[in-house]
Amino acid sequence: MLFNSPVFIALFLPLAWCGYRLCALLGTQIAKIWLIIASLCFYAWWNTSFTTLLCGSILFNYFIGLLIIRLQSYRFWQSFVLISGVTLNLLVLCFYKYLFSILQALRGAGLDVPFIIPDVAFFLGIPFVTLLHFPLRIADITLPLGISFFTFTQIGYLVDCKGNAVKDKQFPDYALFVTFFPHLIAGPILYHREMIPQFTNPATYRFNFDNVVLGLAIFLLGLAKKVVIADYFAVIANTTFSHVDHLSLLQAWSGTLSFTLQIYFDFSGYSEMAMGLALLFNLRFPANFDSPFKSTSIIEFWQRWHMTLTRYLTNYLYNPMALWIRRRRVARGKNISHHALTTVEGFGALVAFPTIITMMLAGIWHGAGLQYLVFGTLHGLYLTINHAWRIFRSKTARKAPHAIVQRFKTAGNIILTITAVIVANVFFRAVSVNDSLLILHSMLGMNELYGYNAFDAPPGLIEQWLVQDNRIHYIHNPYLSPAEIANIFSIVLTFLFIWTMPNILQIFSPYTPSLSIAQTPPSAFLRKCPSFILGIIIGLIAILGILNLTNNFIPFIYFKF
Amino acid sequence: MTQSYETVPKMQRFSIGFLGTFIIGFGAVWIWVASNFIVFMDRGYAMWAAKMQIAHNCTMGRLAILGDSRPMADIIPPLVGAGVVNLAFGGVTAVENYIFAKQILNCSNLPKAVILSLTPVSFKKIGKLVDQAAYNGLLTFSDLEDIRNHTREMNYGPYDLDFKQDIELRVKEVGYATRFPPYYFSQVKDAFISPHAWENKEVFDYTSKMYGWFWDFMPGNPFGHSHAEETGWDDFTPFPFSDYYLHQLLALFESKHIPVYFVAMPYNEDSFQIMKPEFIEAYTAYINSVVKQYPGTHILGPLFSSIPWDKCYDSYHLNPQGARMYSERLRQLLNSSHVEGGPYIADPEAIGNVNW
Repeated sequence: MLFNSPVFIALFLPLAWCGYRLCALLGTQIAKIWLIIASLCFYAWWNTSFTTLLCGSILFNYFIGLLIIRLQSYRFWQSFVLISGVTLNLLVLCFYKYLFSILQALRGAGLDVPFIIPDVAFFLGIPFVTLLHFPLRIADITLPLGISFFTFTQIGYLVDCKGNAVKDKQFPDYALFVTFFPHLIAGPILYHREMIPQFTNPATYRFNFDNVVLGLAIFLLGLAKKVVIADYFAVIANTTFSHVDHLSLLQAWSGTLSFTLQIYFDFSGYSEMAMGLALLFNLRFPANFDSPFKSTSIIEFWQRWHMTLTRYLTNYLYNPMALWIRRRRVARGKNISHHALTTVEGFGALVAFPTIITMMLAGIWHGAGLQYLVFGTLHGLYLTINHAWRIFRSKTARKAPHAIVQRFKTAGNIILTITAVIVANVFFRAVSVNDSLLILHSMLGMNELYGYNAFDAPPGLIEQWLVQDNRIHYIHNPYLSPAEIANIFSIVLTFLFIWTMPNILQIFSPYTPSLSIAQTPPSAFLRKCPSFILGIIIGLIAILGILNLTNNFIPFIYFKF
Repeated sequence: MTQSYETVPKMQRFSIGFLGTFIIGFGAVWIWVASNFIVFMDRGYAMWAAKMQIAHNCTMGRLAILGDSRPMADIIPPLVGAGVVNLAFGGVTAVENYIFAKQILNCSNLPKAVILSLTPVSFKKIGKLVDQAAYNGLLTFSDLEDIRNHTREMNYGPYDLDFKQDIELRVKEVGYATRFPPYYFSQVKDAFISPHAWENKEVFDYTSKMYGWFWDFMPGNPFGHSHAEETGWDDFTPFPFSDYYLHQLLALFESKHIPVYFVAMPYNEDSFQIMKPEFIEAYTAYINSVVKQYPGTHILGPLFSSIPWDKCYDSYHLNPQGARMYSERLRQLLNSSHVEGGPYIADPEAIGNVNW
């Protein structure tokens, strides 16, 4: 079920919310159970068979967690159980996410590789009917919705169990922590320690009108971002990325920028909808999105984009890896002080290596394609260069320039950061590395500057051409078409909107809608803006969001991860 | 959450502003959308609305024409005769015709006879068209419930859906029934970018004046000499769902003692020439077998005939000249067959309004 579908908004959400309020009157445990059932129904709506997988995963991790806590005084066995639990979680994730891509690639290379055992496949939720059609095709394997998110959430829980950070061991709390529908499919990735205190607090189950209004406002703002802006750019981006073989410079940039804006508003919209939904149930999520296109460096970008994934990777991947490297260096008698970072060897070992490896893994977390590895590696390199710049640049360059120069410098930094992100996004969106290179080729102006406008053909005409001789005819148009002008105009306008408008965390900062606060405090203008006027503006945007509900029906980008 | 003393009244002001704007604003949009369909829907809707109004006002006259887009485009009522109304809708099947016939038969002044014309293809269509009819307000939520119930009884058809699809469909249908604005907002946007309220009004008036006829296609012949889909068929077996509703439709008229004349629209000459005999035989056998079960139902004219290409718009529909020619041919056929409500004499006043 999608957050932007009529069935979710008109049926599921009102039912889940009203049921929750009624159950909360009867008792907190009943309310929790209601929310768990509602969340499982939400998940089962997409595919009932995978609900077994989700429930199995929850039970497995809950008992592994209990075992880890029990083995507190047996460090070896505790580590053994933790490693086994994490490995099993990762194996299931890899099974769905990577195994079939790898097998298919191997078969493509002419190797005779075996397929899975049917019983295992059935247990894990692959519809039985597909097993009758051997050899199994990659198209038959459906990625369980949100598997990356609920697996990561639970691995984090297991690690926290070992770190003695888990106090509450009640199963309903744990089950609700994993299944709570606003974050189940696409995050944010939550920590046990930030949600359980809320679940156990009786105040959570009391009716709070302010939170309901706030939640509704944030949810509808997120909806408007998704259905009005993201879905508009999705159409342009989809057209561009499905015709990569012959793009003009203008089309390539227009398509890539459109995708960049699509994913920006798609993810921003999703994160806000999730935050708003949690607030409707009197719960607060950590912030997941904080105007990343206002970042002046790629390091800052990752502190503002998919923030819960960044902190997860930092805490559970980068930090352990960096710690391991430091210990090894200490064991070998090497320097690990700040001075060591200023040497190329020290920087390479202590910063570049863990950064690049972390980002490469973050890249392939998105999918099995090589393009995701390139995406992650690029971001790893960007971060490394950014860190190197901070460490190695001359002292004179660190001096604060004149205010006007500083403004230009900030603008330049923002543009440089966004350009780097855009280039990486080409790999993120394209279906292969080859397609990505073709687009980058066009973006560098290796084809025409502008003028090929097969996409602007009247609807249905391209299909007719395809029917006629199975290929698209490109029409040379020496002028910019109205559609191209409209694209440029909308892209410029949207970037101006991003750079000038406050985000949800800033707008609602007096009401603390999230567990985190905005990195940039709200402007004086926003602080002085009357709440009533703000309410009217957001009310109007909310109407726009609801009215566009059935517009295109494009799923959230992060739903497929 | 801990709220400071200052933020509480601020939140109240925000809530009033937000909820007030949202409820009043969305409510106003909803009322406007529900009461102004003719302003923002496309011109196809204007034609639907005119026909629905004829049915609603019970001004069916002597002879009502039911069917799909072919009789809709091909039969000009004033050329067939005074008191003839064209109540055929584009893209519909026996299902929508059955529901519409039920509405017509609620009137006190019933037509003397009915012409029913359904293309073979319409017996093999599912789902989407019912959706269009619901979207335009021809089918109500209870009509759709009836269709679903019948389908379940038959254990077949487009509404033989799983639980999830069933719920999603019902949510959508409630949205149509209540004219929930999101379902119509894309049309509102189009109308805002390119206003066509005046054009819709003209189409509505014209269709009403022409007793249900409006030639609603683009000028020219965009598809060239394309062939009807049936030319590729070797056999004919209707979907049980369509067959069921055809029987329901004929039984309904039978119960009201209104004779039904099944008329087949002509094909373009290219399609006609390559139509496979096996298909012609199977389709003819099917229609004959259905008609035989209802004494009040007859076949009028040939089930397969042709018309020159210069009188056609595309593989199925005639152009206005073709429609004129066919309507005159139909009038002769009605009179020679002594169809109830005759004699049929062309209405010269109304013909004067046709823009050839």
